Amino acid sequence: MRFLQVGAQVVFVVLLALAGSWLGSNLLQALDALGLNLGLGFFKQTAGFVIGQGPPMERSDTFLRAYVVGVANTLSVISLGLALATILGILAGVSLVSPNWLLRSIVRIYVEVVRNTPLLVQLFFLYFAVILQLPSLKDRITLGPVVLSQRGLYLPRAIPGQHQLVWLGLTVGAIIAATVVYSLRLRRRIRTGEETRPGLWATTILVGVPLLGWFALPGDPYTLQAPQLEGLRMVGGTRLTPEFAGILLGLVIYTAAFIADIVRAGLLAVAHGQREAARSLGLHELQVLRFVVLPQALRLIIPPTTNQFLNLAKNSSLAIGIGFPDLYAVSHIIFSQSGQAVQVIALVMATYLSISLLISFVMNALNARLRIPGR
Amino acid sequence: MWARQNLFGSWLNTLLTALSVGLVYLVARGSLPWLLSEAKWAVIGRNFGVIGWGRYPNDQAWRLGIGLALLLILGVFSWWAWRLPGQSPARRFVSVGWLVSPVILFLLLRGLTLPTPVTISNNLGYYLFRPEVLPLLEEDWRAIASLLIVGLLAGITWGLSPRRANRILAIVACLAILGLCLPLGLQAQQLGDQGLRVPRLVIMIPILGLGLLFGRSAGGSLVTLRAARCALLVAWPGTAAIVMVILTSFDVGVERVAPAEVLLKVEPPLWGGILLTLVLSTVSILFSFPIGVLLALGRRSRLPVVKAVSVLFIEIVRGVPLITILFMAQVMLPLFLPLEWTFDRVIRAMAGMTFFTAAYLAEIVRGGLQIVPHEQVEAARSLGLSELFVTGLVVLPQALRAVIPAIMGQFVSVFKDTSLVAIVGLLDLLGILQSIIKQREFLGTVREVYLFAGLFYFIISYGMSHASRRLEASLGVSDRF
Repeated sequence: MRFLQVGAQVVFVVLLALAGSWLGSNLLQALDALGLNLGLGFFKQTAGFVIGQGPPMERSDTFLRAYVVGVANTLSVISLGLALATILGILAGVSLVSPNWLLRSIVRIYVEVVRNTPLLVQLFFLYFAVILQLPSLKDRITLGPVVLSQRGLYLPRAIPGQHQLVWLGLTVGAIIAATVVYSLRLRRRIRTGEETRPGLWATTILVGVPLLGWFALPGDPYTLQAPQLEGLRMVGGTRLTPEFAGILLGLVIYTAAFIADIVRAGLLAVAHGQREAARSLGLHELQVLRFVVLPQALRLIIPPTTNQFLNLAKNSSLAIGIGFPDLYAVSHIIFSQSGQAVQVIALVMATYLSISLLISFVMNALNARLRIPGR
Repeated sequence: MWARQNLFGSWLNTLLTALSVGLVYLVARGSLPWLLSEAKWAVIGRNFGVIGWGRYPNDQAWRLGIGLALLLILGVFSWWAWRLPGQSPARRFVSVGWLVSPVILFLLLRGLTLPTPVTISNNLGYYLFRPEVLPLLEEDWRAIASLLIVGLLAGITWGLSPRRANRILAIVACLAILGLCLPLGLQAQQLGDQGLRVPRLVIMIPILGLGLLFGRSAGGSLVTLRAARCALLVAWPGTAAIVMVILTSFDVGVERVAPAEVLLKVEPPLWGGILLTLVLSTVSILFSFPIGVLLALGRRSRLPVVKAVSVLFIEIVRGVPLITILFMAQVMLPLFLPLEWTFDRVIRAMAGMTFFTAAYLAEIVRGGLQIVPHEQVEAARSLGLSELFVTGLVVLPQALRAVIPAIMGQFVSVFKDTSLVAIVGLLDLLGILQSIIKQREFLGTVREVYLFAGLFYFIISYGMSHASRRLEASLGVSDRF
């Protein structure tokens, strides 16, 4: 029996090796015919093109530099997207269990429509039918310091003034001090039983010290610069290109719909009796939420949400459809310029695999911390 | 009162209700006037042909209608047959119908050429008297295909019944087909580019033998099926006809003996629009299922090499975006295959989507496999079933049944993900719509077009999800575990 198993494996390995060598020889033949090779040296060639968004780049920079710009763009979309999608998803999920019928229905319609339509269709709609249809700079929409137009979303920017480093140091110190004070006062309350209000102390330090520092220092550490129209362009402020806004909005809306359903399922899964028992113990709604419902719900919510985060990271590659130069789009340009398909694809896959691994790792660590011991 | 409880229960609720009403009003005020009066919905009507079936000839579109009607009839019959109790023959008919439908639909859509009697007699002559022509026309695969089919049927006949008449029939059939292909078989063939030259018999006889062996084991296990022996009466003439068609369907360039075009040939590159979306989804789902099950079983295998390869494949394919897999399929597949094999871009996209879906299905099926109690496996083994039958008859049915909701969800995802082929340049629904809005006369119709796309995908996805939920409920899946 064991011999049969070993024999089967040997046959499998031999077949695999044969298939692999056949594929490999075909590949080498085809590459030869095209005049290409399997080396990585072409990455040092001059790019000859410029990527308009993200870290600055010259036409004379290498392909590798172009790729790095693409990766930076992707990472910025992913990080911002994850944060916003989580917030929106949690809000929507909580709305789905609210007693308000109108709110529930509206959010349910949103979730069902978004989940049953392909992301690419939503992206195209958002980009071509909404964002590009916004008025031109001349007729821009102004909401306070924020400007919406066809050329992008302009937000006010904080310009660092003098003493900004001092103020930053003060703020960091305040955060550390607040954390330390919080844990100390909490420990004291647990030990002696007296009410030492750790939350109040920590919040006072966290908010009060930076505030005092702001007014105490001569001059403002930061000033807000609103975008202004000068001639045909906007100056000042930070600009979110239509493409970036499009992919970000599309990803956030799409992923938040899935997260909303997950949050809803997690909240509903906590047995109703838990809340009733907590209420009968005298805890009020907020305490019930914080100490009884959320810890149990979070354990149910985090694994599927990890999946959705990974999906968001992978879906960011659709940015090529609306012209945002993320890492996949840049790799496409590199491929069409150099013809080296195998290396470029291998690099792209390795990058996405690393990003996925990173997200999984962080979320699994979070999951482990929230684990109920013994289960 | 309902309103007081649900809309105005607390001050927070009242505030939320007010905000929601305000939001709905704003959205309606902004979009309804446009939707009802300014929108140019004619863009969909004017381009209906292209949207529905791409570059498929409009005068042949009736074939799509017939295909749809066939599927509808099959569906209605299935619904009716499954409401009948137990193992009624109706269910068997409908199952056979479903199994055969992909082939029929493919031939219907792609077109069919059938050899005329003149063609048959002419082309059979090539096998006997001018066999050297066949490799030049690249039609020598037909002999091997026929050998396999005849071997299979002969084996099934042999294994099905111990009667001498059946065995003689099987032997005679094998000898006949071998005799027909002998002149071709005696010719030398070069294996690979620098391989040695061997007579084709070296490939042909093992293929025939393989068919016989498989057929025998299949026939042995079909012995208890009463219908199987009656089916043989139909199978032999039917198979003879099919083998004749396979052997003689090639064109030698002479008008008189060319096969007749029964249905106009419309090759897959011309299929587009909604037709292509549906075909892509269906093919991906169909072919990814066996691959996914094999991968899941491979991942749970005790053989380390098989397990390692399965895990590697699944994790890599699941960790990268679908668009990179599609790009790999479009650009790298031709590099890895011999230069003479050219695959159309639609086929490459199908291959990419199939492998992608298979990896995700493998994970779903793996979950199902874990849910089957180990005692089932032990009991099956103690009954004397071999490993293959234990997996196939005991474990897989339970595993698959447990994960039907997840599989249906994955199929809905596949359907939505076919829209990505628009990025690699294929003209599916989204691709066609993109090309429409680039035309000058439809330049400003972006919103109408994408809203239509959204509506189409939404209706079908929501319908599929809804159907899957009802299927779950009727199967009682959640009640059992």
